[in-house]
This record gives sequence, structure tokens and C-alpha cells, in this order.
Amino acid sequence: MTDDLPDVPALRVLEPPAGGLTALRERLGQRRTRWWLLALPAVAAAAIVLGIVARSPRPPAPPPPTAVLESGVYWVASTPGPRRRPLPPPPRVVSIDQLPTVTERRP
Amino acid sequence: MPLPDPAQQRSALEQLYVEHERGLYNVAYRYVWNRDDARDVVHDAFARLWRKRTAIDWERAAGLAYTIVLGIARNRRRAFAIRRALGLARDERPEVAPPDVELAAARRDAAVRRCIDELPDRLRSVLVMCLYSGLDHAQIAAVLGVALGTVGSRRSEAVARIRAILEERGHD
Repeated sequence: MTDDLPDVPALRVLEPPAGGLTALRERLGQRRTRWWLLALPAVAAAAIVLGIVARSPRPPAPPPPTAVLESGVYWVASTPGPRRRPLPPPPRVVSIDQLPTVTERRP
Repeated sequence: MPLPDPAQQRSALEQLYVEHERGLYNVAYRYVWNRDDARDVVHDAFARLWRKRTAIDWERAAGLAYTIVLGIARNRRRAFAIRRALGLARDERPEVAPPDVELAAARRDAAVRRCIDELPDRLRSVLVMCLYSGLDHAQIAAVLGVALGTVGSRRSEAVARIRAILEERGHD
């Protein structure tokens, strides 16, 4: 260690763990899995599927619905206007024969 | 110069590992403060060297190994800082001073770790390379891409700063 700095464990030279070279050999012997290479077949498969879907015949589209007004169907305003006061009942028409007997008839 | 024979490349790589494992490990440890991580950093660096084995000038491979180790260690340190900021990592590294160290010494040890952590990278890299790599100043200057005189001045600055921080915190 240097005499400029305090002698503490944080600054002392550490021995690396044993078996480092063996572990390195094992690591270098492993085949690297390049996951990004899987992206190529995945993209190709997706393109094929999309192509098949795009080329497949589609059923004819149904004609757009047309509005047909039938007799007896009336358009009404969706928003009602201001409510009116109820109309007074019409005067009842009573024939003279049906008038109640109020007074006796004189012969 | 590059070696064409794979067996020679393998032999050169393993020789490089045996010669510089301790230095590389100690440099990496002062960035990640964890023995397992430090070993991973060194092995990552040698895996990268192995992938570039056909283009490596094996006479200068030691400097390249230190350059790669410093790069990986800095990245891990940065990633740890981000995880800590996001609350995904603990604030303190699990490794502390050995249990046989008494309390005052343990506190001093932790203070020195914090001092090294607080150094800017331009000073920390020079300091740890000077302390642990075993390379001379010219080689360190080449690894770090600085002038030869800069290595000495930054090393002195780093030591002075650590001593000043320790004195300020009452650990000297």
C-alpha cells in the first residue's frame, strides 16, 4: 500500500477468489445464445401470416342499410318542445231530449 | 501482433488472465465494491477479449484488458446508481469491513470507501490504476488516454482529496 493513504481494508490488495481461470474456461466454452437472431425468423413468420391473411378471400360486404319510411311511421322531434297547458275539455253537447227533467212539463 | 492460431490465442488469453487477474480484480472492486461483481466484471472483460481474439495485439493486451474492465465497471456502477435512485437496490453495498476489524477501524474503513466513491472518475481511475494495476505511469496514461504527467498529478490530487475529506470528518 502507499504511505500517503491510511492502511484500511478498503485499500488493501484483495486476493481474487480461487478457481477464476477454471470459471473463465467454462464461460468461454459455452456457446453464446444470440437471442436477437431469433428475431429474424419471428419477423419472417409474422410476414407470412400477414400475407396469407391479406390474400384470403373475404365474404362480400353486406349492403349498407338504407332508411325506408313505412306508412304509419312518423319522424318525431327527438327533443320535445315546451309542455303545453292541458286543453280544457270541450263543452259537452247535450241534445234537448236528453236534458234532465228540471221542471215538469205542463200539458 | 495478432496470433492466427486459435490454440495460441487461447494460451495468450489464459496467460494474460493469470498475470493480471489480481490487478484487474482489485481495480474492478473499487468501482463495484462487491467481490462477486468484481469477478464478473473481469470475466466479462475476458469474454470480450476472446470475441476479438483475431484482431488483438497480444503484446499490448494488458492495457486493453484494463480499458475494458474500467468501462464495464463504470457501466455497472452507473446501473447500480440508477437502480438505487429508482428504489430497486439497497442504498449500501452488502459488503462491509471484515468482522475482526474493531468498530473505530470499521468506521474509518467505511469513510475511506465513501471518499473513493466521492472522487470524480478522472481521479478515481488514476488512483486505482496506480494502486492496483502494477502498470507503470506510461502504461496507465495509455490505458486512460491521458498525458504521462497527468497520471502523477491526478494521483496526487486524489490522495490529497481523500486525506482532506478524512481530516474534515475526523477520521485521521
